[in-house]
Amino acid sequence: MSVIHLSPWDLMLAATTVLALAAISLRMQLGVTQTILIAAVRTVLQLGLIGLVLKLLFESLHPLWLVPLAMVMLAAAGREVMSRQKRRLRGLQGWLLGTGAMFVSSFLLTVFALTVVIGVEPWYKPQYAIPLLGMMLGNTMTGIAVGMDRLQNAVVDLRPQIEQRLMLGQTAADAIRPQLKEAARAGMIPMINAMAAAGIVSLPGMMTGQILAGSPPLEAVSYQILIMFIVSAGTGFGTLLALHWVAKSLFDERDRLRLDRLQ
Amino acid sequence: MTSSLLHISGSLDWLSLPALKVAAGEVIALHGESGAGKSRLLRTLADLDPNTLGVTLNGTSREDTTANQWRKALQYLPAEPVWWTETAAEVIAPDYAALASDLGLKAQLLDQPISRLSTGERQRLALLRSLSVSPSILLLDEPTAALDQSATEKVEKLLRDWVQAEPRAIIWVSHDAAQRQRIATQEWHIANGALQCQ
Repeated sequence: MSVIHLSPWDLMLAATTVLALAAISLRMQLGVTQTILIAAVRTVLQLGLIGLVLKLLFESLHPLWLVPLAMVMLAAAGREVMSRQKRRLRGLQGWLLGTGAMFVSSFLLTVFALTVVIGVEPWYKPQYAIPLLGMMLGNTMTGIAVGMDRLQNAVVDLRPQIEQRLMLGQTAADAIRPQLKEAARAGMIPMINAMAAAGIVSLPGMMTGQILAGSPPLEAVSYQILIMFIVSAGTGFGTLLALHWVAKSLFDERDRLRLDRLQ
Repeated sequence: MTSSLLHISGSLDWLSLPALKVAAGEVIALHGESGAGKSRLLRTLADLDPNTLGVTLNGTSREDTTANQWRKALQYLPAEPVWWTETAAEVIAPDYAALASDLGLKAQLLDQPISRLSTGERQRLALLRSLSVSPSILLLDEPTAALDQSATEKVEKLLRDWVQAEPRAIIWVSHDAAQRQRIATQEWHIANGALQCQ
């Protein structure tokens, strides 16, 4: 069974729906018309570009070209994590923390899924590696950004409480623990909810895509379960790692709360 | 000087100060205009802000003590203490909870939600909370500001007994000249970016 081909004409028909939305928001003066249009154009350009890159990679390039591609994806995700934080750590450090945590958790789990679980030969085969990594990065990015943002806002808002705990002789780790837990929960809950709602409320995008492309439903479901597991674990571990590093960076060697390290 | 408990030396970029010595049993009254840097000095002694002071307690320098042990030993009680527990009883050791009546507080206040207590009640309970971490030095920022005369006297009496009981000392920010007369063995005054002993 093969997919029904979508022509540019078909996509233009689909685009009319977004154009209609843009027209109505212009009329209602919602102030998002331009944003909608730019975002829609970006979708076409970015997906078109990645489609060409993947076509090239699958058909004619050495598979190890996926390494620079993965680095570009990671750097873009790192930038996105930074832009979603209201109060960031100053300098390169904040970018390194978020990106480093994403790198560790999503790359490790993607490699684990490729080698141990799926058993792709060779394990870096781009047809498997790129989509898996993309999904990992997309989700860990959100968890890490939400968690870091939450923790950094909390230490600013609750500085008197954290310093009061320090005054009474708590270590930095103890003094920030309640805020750290709260931030970790905030970073993980969307993924946990997605696992809980999968199949009942929502049909996950990857599975939908596979079914549309003609895969047997149970095959698609198995892959979706695998994805859900590694994405949840990756998001959770990535968030915990990033928060651990952020919490450490917010105190100095004398356990002083250093809000001057935030922008 | 073997009887000297606390030594402060070195300099701060925002305050010039002489080398300071505090002997066991002393109550130092710290005063100066609002914004002169009294609270900031107490924060600095509790090592909450980066600073270049050299401070030793009982001959042991700050750097040879872990940060949290240091802050337990030099216990800073801010003018507006923060509570994060539901009740005071959760963070006040029983020995010190028993002192509540000496401060004019009913024992059952310790089990009441903190949000329902008055400012003066909270201030006295915060003092007991600070005492329960067994400090050697108390750094008090206007601990009686919200109290009436009778409660103020009770606090002064309790702290006088406390400071005599073991090698301890108090640095006490007070705007009230009469109070300084009653409690102080020594006065430090901050004005125009300089601290002077009087």
